[in-house]
Amino acid sequence: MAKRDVREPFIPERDKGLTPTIECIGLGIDFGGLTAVDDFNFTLGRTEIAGLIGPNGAGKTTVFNLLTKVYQPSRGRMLLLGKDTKGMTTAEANCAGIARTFQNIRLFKDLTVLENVLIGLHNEIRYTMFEAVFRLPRYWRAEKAARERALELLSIFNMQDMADDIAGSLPYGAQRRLEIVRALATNPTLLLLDEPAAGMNPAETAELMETIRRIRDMFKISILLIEHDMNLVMGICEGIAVLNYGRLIAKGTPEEIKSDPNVIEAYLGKKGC
Amino acid sequence: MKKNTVHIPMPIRYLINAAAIAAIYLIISALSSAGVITNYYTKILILICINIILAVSLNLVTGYLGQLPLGHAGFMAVGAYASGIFMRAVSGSMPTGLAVFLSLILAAIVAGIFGFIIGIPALRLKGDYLAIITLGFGEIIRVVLLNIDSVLGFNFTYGAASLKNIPKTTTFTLAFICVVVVCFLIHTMMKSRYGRAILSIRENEIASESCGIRTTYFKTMAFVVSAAFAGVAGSLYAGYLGILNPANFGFMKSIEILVMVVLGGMGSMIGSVVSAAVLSALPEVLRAFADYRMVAYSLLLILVMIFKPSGLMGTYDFSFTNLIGRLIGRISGKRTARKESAE
Repeated sequence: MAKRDVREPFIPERDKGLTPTIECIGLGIDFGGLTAVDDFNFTLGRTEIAGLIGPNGAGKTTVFNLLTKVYQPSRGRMLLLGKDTKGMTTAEANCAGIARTFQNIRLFKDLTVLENVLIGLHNEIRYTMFEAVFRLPRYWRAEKAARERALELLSIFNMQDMADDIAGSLPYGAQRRLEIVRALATNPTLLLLDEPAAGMNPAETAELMETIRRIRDMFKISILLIEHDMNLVMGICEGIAVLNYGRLIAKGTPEEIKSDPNVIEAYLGKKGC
Repeated sequence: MKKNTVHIPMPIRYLINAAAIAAIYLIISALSSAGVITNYYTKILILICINIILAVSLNLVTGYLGQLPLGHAGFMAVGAYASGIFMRAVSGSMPTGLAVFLSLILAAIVAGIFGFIIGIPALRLKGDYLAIITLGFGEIIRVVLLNIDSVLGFNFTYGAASLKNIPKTTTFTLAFICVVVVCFLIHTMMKSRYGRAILSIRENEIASESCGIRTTYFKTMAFVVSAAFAGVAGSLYAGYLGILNPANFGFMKSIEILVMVVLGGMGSMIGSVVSAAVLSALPEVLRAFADYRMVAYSLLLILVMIFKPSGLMGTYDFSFTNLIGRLIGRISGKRTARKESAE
């Protein structure tokens, strides 16, 4: 099989012709003298589910932090729907359409499940401080609509009955799902999932795979996920990018990745010696 | 939703709350006109009201936003002096009611501006660093008030000689109305998207930012609102004492307010109200041991922190209407249970 050039864009057939959700051109970041990510070229189709894999410490989460503007890149450019994202803050990147979940769950633990989703809906709710403080009709209308929307989003994961529970008291799997709901509430065009299946059993993982696909089909968004569970990655990702030591070492379909000698070497080491 | 709770619809909830507030006010004013509450007690009640406003406004930053500023007395001082100087300037030339109203607004605005100026650099820091820098700013305000006259060359704040002859306009009614208005405004703000944004910053700043919330904006907003309400309290204080001295607004005053908030439970408005009331009344009750007040304070704090680290009320917020709903639910629940057993 001809090896794919990691610098070439790779997106599924159906998304060709549309502006890609994300286009990274030579993205890199240094922390002091340490180059964490370098020469990261990556394109994500409009309705693509892609995976970002690599050994521990390869820089996967750093890439997520670059995409969500937690870090500003030292080199290179990142285009979101064709627009340069230079100088954006994390909050602005979210408003522009990038939502994420975290590797170590970051829920608003002492608030209820519903409040967590309502905070995700923050920028969708429109009323002024004056209208809120004096409880004018628009406040009631907007709050009611937001509540209904939040419950609707929760029902994707069958969590509407937990709406009044405290987020921190939910079981682990439910917390992970709530984080995804909260991210979806911000009305993203790109959803970044950082190890969504971590700590889930095979049955839950299978269910999660179904849900991720359903989310993509329902919201028509692109999803990029970091995951160590190869069943999940190989099962739902259309394109996979492999990072090692901060550099892309392979890019392609799951089949191509499985047989790529560079990937096998990064994960298992060299043959012989 | 808890069982046996009747959910009371919104306009009726407001009516019930308004009626409860009016009842409290009427009882107190009836008692004072009957002579049960003497002039001395009325003074304490006004002081309690002022401290409630201070505690509730600090709770906005400490409890809801999750930051730890130690300069609240500074904002109170700014409000007090702004209003005191204004009242002295306009006394006689303006109807008192209007002058008092304007002085409250002015105090809130000036304190809010100071909150903004101090908040922008200070809120870049967190935790102990924020505490130290706001402590520093609070002291700067006090020292400036003390010495500004010799810089300006004319009498403006009268420094250590005290700003005297401020019209004593603060009555119990005025203080009570201010408490109700401030509590109402903070409550409604916290139950809106703005309040949720503030809470999310306390819970997890990184996640909140990734939910599209401009954390710097909301932190500054909470800080400014908190400072403005402290200014209102300062204005009431100026009209209550009639004389202002920078020494009243020292570091210990900030600590005193913080103690009220922590003791009541950070993030609980009713906690702030109750502990502000208790802690302002306590020194008056223990008049004879006034010197040991700080010892009592620290003992009280240590005991609360040992036995109830989250404060008296934790983050629990009391809802009068929910309580009524629960009571109605319980009564009607018992009735249906009785009916069932009879059948």
